[in-house]
Amino acid sequence: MRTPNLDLQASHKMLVMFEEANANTEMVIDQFPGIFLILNSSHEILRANQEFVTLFNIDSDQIFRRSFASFFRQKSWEIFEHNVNKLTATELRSDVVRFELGMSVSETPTGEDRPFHWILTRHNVKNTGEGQLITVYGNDMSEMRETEKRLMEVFTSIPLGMFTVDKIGKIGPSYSSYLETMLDCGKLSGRLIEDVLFKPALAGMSADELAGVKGVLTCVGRAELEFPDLEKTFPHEIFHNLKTDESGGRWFKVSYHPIGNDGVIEQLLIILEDRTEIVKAERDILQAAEEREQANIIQLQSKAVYESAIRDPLTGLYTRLYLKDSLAALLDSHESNKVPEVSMVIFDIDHFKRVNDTYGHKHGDLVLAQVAAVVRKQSRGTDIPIRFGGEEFLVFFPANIVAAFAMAERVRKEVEGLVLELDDKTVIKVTISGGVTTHVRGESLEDFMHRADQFLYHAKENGRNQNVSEIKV
Amino acid sequence: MDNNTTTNEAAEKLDVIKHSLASLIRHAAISRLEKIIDCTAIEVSDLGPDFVPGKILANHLALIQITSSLVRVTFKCHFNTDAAKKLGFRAFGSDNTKTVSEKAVLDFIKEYCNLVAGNVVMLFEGAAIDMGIGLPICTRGFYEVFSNYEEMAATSIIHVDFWRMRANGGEIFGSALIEIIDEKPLECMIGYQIAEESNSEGEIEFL
Repeated sequence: MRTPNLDLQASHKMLVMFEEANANTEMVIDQFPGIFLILNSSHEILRANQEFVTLFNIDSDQIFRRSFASFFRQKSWEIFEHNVNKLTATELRSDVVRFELGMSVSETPTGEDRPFHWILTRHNVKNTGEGQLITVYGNDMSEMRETEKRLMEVFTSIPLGMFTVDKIGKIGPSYSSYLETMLDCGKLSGRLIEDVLFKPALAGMSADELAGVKGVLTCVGRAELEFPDLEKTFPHEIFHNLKTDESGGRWFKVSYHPIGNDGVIEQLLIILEDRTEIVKAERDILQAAEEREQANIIQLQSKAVYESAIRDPLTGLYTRLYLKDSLAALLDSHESNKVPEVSMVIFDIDHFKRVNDTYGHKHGDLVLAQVAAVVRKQSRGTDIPIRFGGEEFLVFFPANIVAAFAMAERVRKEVEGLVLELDDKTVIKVTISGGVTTHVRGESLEDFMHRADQFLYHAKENGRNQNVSEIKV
Repeated sequence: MDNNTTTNEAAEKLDVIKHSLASLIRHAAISRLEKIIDCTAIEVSDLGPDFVPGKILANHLALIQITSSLVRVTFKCHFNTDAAKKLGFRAFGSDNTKTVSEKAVLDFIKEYCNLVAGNVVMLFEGAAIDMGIGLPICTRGFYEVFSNYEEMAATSIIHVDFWRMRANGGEIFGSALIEIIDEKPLECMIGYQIAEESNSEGEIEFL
């Protein structure tokens, strides 16, 4: 019986451990979350991990030695091969090459390439049987691109101009598409902010505003802590106009946001809000307010002129001018039965000519004013008291003749009691007579007044200081 | 006899030793395959002219070492699992090889390597040369790239042999890396006659 070889047992144990470690490493490669491949110098696949096998739904034995070019469209493969050459060609040799390239994956329903981010590295071994080996790592970027796309859609659809500028004031490659519309420009990537945003407004800017623009252009590269003070000087409202007339311009509200790294402003995010419509609306509102104020003044002035035309300055009663407008409306209301009855009184101060002749017009006017004050006092808000001319007064009532007669009597009695004492203690006393009647539907104003005048005539005839009407009171 | 003639003769003798050893190992590989897959119709062929040592032959690789103070032999079996399943379907006991797991295939090939190594040891014993056997290990075929087939310094003379074995619509590849450490005692292998095996060889009869 042979003596057990302890060295051999130890070697066997090492081999078992090595195999297990190797199997574990291979499992890690197989479970690598992305494509892992080893290609030879003819770009044949020597090792593919499970992700790749699953992606193409091909048996791993079928993948062995298959040309990697067969997984690409012709043009895409040319790009891939170019990158492989960058890694292996003597003059371009580098350790790692990274790039993005689409690969045609059979599962893609639309037949479009899936975007992949590739990392290629050289794998150096002494054995030259397969030539230069290349390790390929590929990460499917579809989901990331889709997310980016969705974000971009949100970013580009918002009605704001959003963009970043670098140290020299160049606009970055990503900006909201609305910005082009706002600035009335085509592609903005790489253009200078000074040219596309500030230049049209520079001419109309004050020295402080110009300093603010300069601050915007020089703030990238400075410490983030300085930004709050710098930003106070920046222009926050710009009228951007590329045309000669003002109607083509836009009002922008501008806000600035630093994008920092390690305490230094690396980029400046600028957000433009188009406030043109708001500014226009504000201007319209202001203009409308001014116009309204102007109209109010005119209206007040017109009213004052009208008032002065329809008010008798001596008595404060309406004048004949007012008679036609107001009575037409009142009689129309009576015709249409909106007002059941309309009545009137025509007053005349008795022997007023004698007052004027005896005490003069000045005192005559005082008498007129006092009598008119009585008429006004006894009139209700709905009554229309008018100085018809000289010492004659008319009062129209939306009421029946009884009410009208009662008012006429109150006036007559109060006038009878009036005492006007002159400076020389002379006392003037007057009386008043009235004719009272009610309107008959279909009757004209002239006829209506004529009938009242007839009753006044009878009052005068009957001895004055009395009211006469068609009714017995 | 000048020195050149002596050198040429020595080189020719070494060449014969190399080929004798390679032939012995290939014989062991084929004969054990016949046994393990229960098939005598194995088609054996050399690899084409495009083949260079170090080229990867398949997705998987199983290897075993047979060593002595005179010679070290590394026998490798290169295989793809599907092809190996087809080749050894009888060993798996089923016509439907789809149900055979990959691990079963790897174990099958490792067992095959064990058998080949055992047979090689037995054949060397016939020439009174003791050999030891390592454990078979299986890994990815890709690791073939780490093999070194370069001619080494005089202390270790390397000879390599590659061949394909087909049967039942499947195939595997065999390869042998022979490192001769001391060639003189190996001269006994020149013209070594491999004995015919009886069908019952290796089987234990319980009487």
